[in-house]
Amino acid sequence: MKLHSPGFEKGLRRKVRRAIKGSPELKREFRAARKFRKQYHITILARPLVSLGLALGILQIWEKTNHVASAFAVISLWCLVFVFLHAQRLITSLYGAADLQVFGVLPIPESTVFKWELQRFFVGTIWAFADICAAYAAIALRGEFSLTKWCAVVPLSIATWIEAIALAALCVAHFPRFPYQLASSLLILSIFVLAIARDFVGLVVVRLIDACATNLNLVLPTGWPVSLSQGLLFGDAWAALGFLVPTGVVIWSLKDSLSRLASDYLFKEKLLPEAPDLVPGISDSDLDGSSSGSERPARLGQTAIEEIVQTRKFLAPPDWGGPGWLEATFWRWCSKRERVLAEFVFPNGLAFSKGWRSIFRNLVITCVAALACGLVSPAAEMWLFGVGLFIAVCQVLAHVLATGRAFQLVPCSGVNIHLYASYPIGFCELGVFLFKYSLSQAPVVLLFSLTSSIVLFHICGLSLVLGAWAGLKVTGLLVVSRFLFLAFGFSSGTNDTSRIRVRSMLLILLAIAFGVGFAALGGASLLLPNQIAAWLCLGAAALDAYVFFRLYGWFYNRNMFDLMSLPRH
Amino acid sequence: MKIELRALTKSYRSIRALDHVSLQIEPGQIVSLLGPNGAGKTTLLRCLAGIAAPDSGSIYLEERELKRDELELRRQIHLLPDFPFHFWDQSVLRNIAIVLRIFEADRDGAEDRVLELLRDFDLLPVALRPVSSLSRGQAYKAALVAMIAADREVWLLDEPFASGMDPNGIDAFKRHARVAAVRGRTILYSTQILDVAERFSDRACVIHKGAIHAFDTLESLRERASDKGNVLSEMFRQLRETV
Repeated sequence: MKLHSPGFEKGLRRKVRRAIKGSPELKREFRAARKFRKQYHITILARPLVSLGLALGILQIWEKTNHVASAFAVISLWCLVFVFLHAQRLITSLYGAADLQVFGVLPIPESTVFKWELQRFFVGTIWAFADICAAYAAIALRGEFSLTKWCAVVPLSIATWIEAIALAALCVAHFPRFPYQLASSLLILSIFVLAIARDFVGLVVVRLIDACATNLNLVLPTGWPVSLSQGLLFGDAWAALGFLVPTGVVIWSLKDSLSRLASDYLFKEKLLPEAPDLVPGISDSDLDGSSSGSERPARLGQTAIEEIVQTRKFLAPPDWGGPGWLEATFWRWCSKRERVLAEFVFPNGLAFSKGWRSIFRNLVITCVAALACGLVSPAAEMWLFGVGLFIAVCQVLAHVLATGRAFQLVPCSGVNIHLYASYPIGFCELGVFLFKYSLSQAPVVLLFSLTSSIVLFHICGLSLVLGAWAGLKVTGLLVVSRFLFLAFGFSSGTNDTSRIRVRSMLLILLAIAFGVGFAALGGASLLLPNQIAAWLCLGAAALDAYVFFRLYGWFYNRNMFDLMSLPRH
Repeated sequence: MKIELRALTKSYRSIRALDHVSLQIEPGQIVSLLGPNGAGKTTLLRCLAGIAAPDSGSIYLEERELKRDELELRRQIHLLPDFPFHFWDQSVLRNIAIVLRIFEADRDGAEDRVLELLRDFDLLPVALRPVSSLSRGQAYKAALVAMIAADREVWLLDEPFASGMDPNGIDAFKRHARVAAVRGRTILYSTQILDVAERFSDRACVIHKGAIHAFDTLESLRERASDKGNVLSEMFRQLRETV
């Protein structure tokens, strides 16, 4: 699909080129602009290295396990990462693309914009296809495939790729509120940590994958086309054809998911009925109730509004001592200034009890389903629990690490800035407030971690006491990781718009060093058999996170970088 | 509050937005920032608001260097960009209240001031409506009411006269800004409307290619100009000719 006129653009480009040739100043600007383009090319050149890394990883796993199923299981897991990643990308493309603002003022129907953004999303998934092709090519090389099998690799790669996209679309269409960004970040971080610490944990992970490779390809939806490929290329082709059905169903669902998304697609200004007046101290439902039966929204007269202003009702600080015990405890703990920040960061009020109820419901369902599945297949029990736990952990992180509106990007005279940066809100005061917010949820995090780790240890046949200790340590790690995430949160809207400087490079190196340090110490605190050493590692991880937070704050407070980022085009 | 910029430099990669800008703005002045597109006006406002970090040079407010951890100092600066920040699902009054609380300006008497401003800017009838249901001009006026009510020492406004405000709103803004300047507030605004700048500023600061081309009172500029009626237009013509 093309939303432009190639002929017109060609003519325009010719004229612009002529104008640039005639002006030395424009030539200088053109050369400066070209520098940005060169940086973009470097990113494109670096991406194939990831595909190459995946191919090499698959070859290594096959070499170590001597099982082709393990090599295929890596493709299933890789595609699972891409499901979360693409789900987030699809949401961003459809609802957060920079060009939507432009389309909003142009006479283009929404269906066209939907197709356009979808097309851009599909183009963006090409790299995932390259990864899958590289992975299958590695298997084909190692398996010394005949020409016929090599030919079969191409349609199988396409099927695997489209199935992953279909799953991503399915997730977005049916579960749009799931924290996909967090999930994909966690998975990418895990791959990164695995790549760095492969000498320590590599063998354990390889054994884990090898032990359950076949079950993994069976349980994970991304494993169905992979199992089909494995069967067709290595085993019983007729039995493998059975995987055509679930793979086909998932691919077929793509059409339904996209039409579901298209039917709800509204990026333009929506004409809503007139909103009722928002009276301080009176909930919307109360006001709606008072106006029931009339078509006009509830309105207060000018005198009533004047009274609200004059009696300082509108200036009365909110009282968010409810609705749950958690909220009440947090609210009591906040200082006067922190309550002001709470209102700024969470203007719609505090409500984390409801979310936690849903998390515990999901955890109970996961535990029951996994334990029931364990009666049939112990390996599948572990993977089922693993997938369920991963989803629940993503929800937990979304709650514990919530930042409300603080880091929401808002346009400010041509650039994007975080909402907090537009007001006199300090790094430390906001950081401490958000840390308190996480810490206040520690009791429920502890309950979640204890339950899940005890069940996990039971499934793995390990001591339940050790499981309880692990639960305690996971709670500690989750809470102190807030400091790291806070620094990254602040950093997500900052930029060094000047030349590449030593201090920026230093900060990036520090972020990597402290991040890796935290992961290593956190991992050691969970894996070390000696409890004293493990708790010392946990303390060191907490210190690592806090020191990085303060270090970042030092850079921040000394105006070492801008608090703005240029809009993405 | 006296503002002093000492050799402020800011680049965006190879583009120098501010080039060793030195300025001294006395309190109680309304200063218009003028210049062609891309001259560095908005960058100057961003640096003053602490959003952009200068490559070199520094900003002083009453002889105190402006740093991000100087919260007391930062609370004296209020930035209003071309598209104001709002909690769009909240009412006008709630937005004003949040801003007042953030700036710690919700002291006694704030309610009378807010009421007066809501009346002046014709926002009283819509004060309880969500900002998202207002027109662009009304949303800007809501942010302006919050700014005037918070009454900080330094007001920074990016293109306030291209904000969609109606003539009554513009008039009310000018009136309140003038009164605030008399009280010692320093008001910096960028604009491309030269007629407005000529009538509504004590000093004009003309920026060109990141450097200060002129910074003087309108009277002084008029004395030097050949076309005394259109001093700023003449200056812009000269700038174009030098290009």
